[in-house]
Amino acid sequence: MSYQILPYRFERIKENVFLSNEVGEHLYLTSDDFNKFIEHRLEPEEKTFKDLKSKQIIADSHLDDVIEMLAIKYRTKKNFLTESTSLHMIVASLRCNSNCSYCQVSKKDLSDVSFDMTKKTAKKVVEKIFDSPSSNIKIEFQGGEPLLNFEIIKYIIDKAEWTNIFKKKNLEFVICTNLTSIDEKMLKWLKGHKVYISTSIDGPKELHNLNRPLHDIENSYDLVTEKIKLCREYLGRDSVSALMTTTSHTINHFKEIIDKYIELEFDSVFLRSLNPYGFAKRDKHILAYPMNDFIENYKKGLDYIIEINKQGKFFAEGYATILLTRILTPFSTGFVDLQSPAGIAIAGVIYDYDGDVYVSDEGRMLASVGDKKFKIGNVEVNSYQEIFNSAYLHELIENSIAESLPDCATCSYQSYCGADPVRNYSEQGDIIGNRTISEICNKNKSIIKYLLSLLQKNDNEINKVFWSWITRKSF
Amino acid sequence: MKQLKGKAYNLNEVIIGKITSKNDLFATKKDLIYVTNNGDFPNGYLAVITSNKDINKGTSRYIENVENIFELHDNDIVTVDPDGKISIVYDINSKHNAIFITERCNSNCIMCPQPPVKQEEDKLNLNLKYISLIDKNAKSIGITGGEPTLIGEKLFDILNAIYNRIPKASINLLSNGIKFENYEYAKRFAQAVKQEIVVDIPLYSDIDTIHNSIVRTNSFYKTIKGMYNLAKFNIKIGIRVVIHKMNYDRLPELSEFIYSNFPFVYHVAFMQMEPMGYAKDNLTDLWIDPVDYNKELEEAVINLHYRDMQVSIYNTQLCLLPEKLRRFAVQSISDWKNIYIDECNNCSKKQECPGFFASSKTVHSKHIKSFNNVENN
Amino acid sequence: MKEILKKIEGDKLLLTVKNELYEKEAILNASYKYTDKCFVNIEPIETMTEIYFQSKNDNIDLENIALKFGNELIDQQIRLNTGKEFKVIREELVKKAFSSISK
Repeated sequence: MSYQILPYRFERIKENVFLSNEVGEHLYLTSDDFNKFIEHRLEPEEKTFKDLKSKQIIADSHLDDVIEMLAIKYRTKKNFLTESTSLHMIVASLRCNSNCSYCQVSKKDLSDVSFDMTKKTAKKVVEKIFDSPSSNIKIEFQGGEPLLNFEIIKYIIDKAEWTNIFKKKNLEFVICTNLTSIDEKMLKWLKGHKVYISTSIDGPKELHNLNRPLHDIENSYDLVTEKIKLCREYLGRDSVSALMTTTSHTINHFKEIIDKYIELEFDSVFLRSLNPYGFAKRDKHILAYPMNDFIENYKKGLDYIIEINKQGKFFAEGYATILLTRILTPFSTGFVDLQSPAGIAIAGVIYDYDGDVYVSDEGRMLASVGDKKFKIGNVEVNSYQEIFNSAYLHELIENSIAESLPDCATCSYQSYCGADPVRNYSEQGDIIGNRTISEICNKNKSIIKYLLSLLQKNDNEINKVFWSWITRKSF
Repeated sequence: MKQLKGKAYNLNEVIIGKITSKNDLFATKKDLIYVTNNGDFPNGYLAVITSNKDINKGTSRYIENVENIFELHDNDIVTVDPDGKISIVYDINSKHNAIFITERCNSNCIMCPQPPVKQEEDKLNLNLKYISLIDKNAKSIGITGGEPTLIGEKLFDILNAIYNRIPKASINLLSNGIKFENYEYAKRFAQAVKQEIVVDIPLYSDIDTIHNSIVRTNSFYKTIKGMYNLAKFNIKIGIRVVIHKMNYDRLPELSEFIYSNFPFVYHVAFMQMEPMGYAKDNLTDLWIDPVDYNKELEEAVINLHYRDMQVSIYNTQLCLLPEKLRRFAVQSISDWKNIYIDECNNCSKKQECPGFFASSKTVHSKHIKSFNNVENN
Repeated sequence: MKEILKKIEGDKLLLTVKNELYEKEAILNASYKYTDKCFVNIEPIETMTEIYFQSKNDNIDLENIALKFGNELIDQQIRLNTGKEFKVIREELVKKAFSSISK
């Protein structure tokens, strides 16, 4: 039977074959049907023929119209590109009052104010931010501990809001903080502006304190939880979100961590693995764990969370939600760490306390231990074009397009995944990286495959839970 | 629509007017049709409808010997043909009034309950008159046919007239979307719309050949292009799926196809087939007991519901639906053709149930069973 | 397995593949998949291509790799074959996706 085969990728899963089209729509074929498909032996009356047509993997007429439909969907999936840089991270200060075991940013001592961002630098940073053509701007304060330089946070928020009167973008602020130094005076000020708080809770008290003691107090947990309550009082119940980082001390305790998150009235958790930068890399032998261990525990954690939802409580897993949105919906997801082309500078960017600009937070972390490979300029020295449109940045981006990277190019999960050149460089010494030994490939592929296997069960209850996460609605 | 019959006098062409039973001295009588059953015959009205016989009123327009005259309510709009046929084209008590733009169609659906004609007289002036008479408090109005876009740019005149008369009403336009494949036409259409509107477009399958064999034209991709063009101008689009033997098996696949390709769609309606017109002629190819496609229907509806799309099930009797689908059922059958059957007499859910099409009286599911106070399904 | 000749000696595996059956690119793509477990060397010799695998550590099962390699080679060749069929379409659809949306 004559039909045109349209762009697709495949992988064999036991006796079946998983196929996905150019925008991630997928289906399973038996091995036999797959052979018939590639040998052009499928007949129009067969269900497989129709199913492949429905997913636009084959076409027997109106090829132009089908390509048009695929193009529209492709544009939708890559919508983050037309948005340009919308996540702007600012290191307000590299000083920190915390002493996290896995500190990735090589934080500085409390007393060393030379690591605070100055007003002079901040002014330039805000100018560069509003040079971005993006209609959505999210300014995220990072550190060290950004609250230690609250003055510059106020300065930047004021300046940004003032500039935005003319620029009229959707403007949002986030402060990534350990919360221990927040007080009522700060909250009163923040209340008048659209500010969200992102903090870290690594688990129940003992586990959290093991990972994240403060300089002078071991029991940071009580302090943080108290401050969370305070934030919610001033800024609203949904103003605080939390994430966790997994170390060897906490990897076997996902259940307790999840329970704690529910107890603390969060409605989601992001089960994050350890990123190998800074102290996390230096102390790998103490803190790290084989990626396969993380994957196993992640699956168990996810199963546990699904059960909780089945019992009637809405609680989402952040990473799964992003992946599921990519697998099941035609929409683009703004997750700069995992997209193709990589989000480096073109989706998210970071301005260090001294005005140096890096393609990503991880790029900054590498610089703080001496490797400035991912620096793309300085706000006081370079123009917007020099920073965001340089030949060097082009080269980095060209090499971070999964569609053309070895193995990624033919990976059937490509639409759900992305490229991470900084991580490749950090782990393997080159930005392209070898997929067979890539830890993030292993992690992403395993989690994606696990989610797909759960979807394949066609279990109504599981589907309901997943869709409630994607749409943020309980049914 | 509801029709009555009488003997017409002095009627040379179709007239359209608003019903009144009160002889108001100050009303503008030229657009009003006076209805009486006690033989009075005031002057000045567009026409008089009476249940009496042998009126003998010279040159005035009147229709006598009309039975069931009580079916005419004040503020209804009726057309009257020279042969004495009175059609209630606007029913003041109904939520489902529509303007019939044309009886021509550029589709030829195998289950069309109202088969199209090839030629007809121009209805534009009649319709514009109709619009000018619509009750000013009307909350909604439909535009239907045949295929309304066949009158081309004149459709924009209709839209303007509606806006002038009932700007706050919401419009429901039924169209196969084919003409909107033309970008310019879609653009001009969008510009002519100044109020709430939903354009409901039928899509019967995720597979072009199946859809085309149902509509019996090669229009799958044209309809899709039409939808995309309307979406570019932010026109709200609904999709309608009439279910029968030719397409029930791929309802779940269709629901996924709709979500993946038309996520902007406002609403999806799954509809039980009306066994009239071509549907009746082709019953052997089309008929399937609705209960026999419940599995596919449930999967399709739940799929879309989880994806946060609005879904409804039209024209389907509650006793046929599994419990978890009943909340999606809508009372969608126009009043004048909505019936119940004997089995329904003591049904506890009769009030909420969509009931049947009049034409379904002899063609319906074998599984109709009234709800007693003890749940039986 | 007449298409692929196999020889194992200690920690070394040699597979020989007919060039008329598998393109260079398919051989390369398939070999790539084993670069975590082995050091791989590819040597074209007239109408054949020789692929040398040397285990990176003691736990590697070379017999298993020899078996899996055959299947991997087939899949990579399938990708190349069907890829040729839709290459132009893929380029066209990406081009269309990013063409001016001024309309």
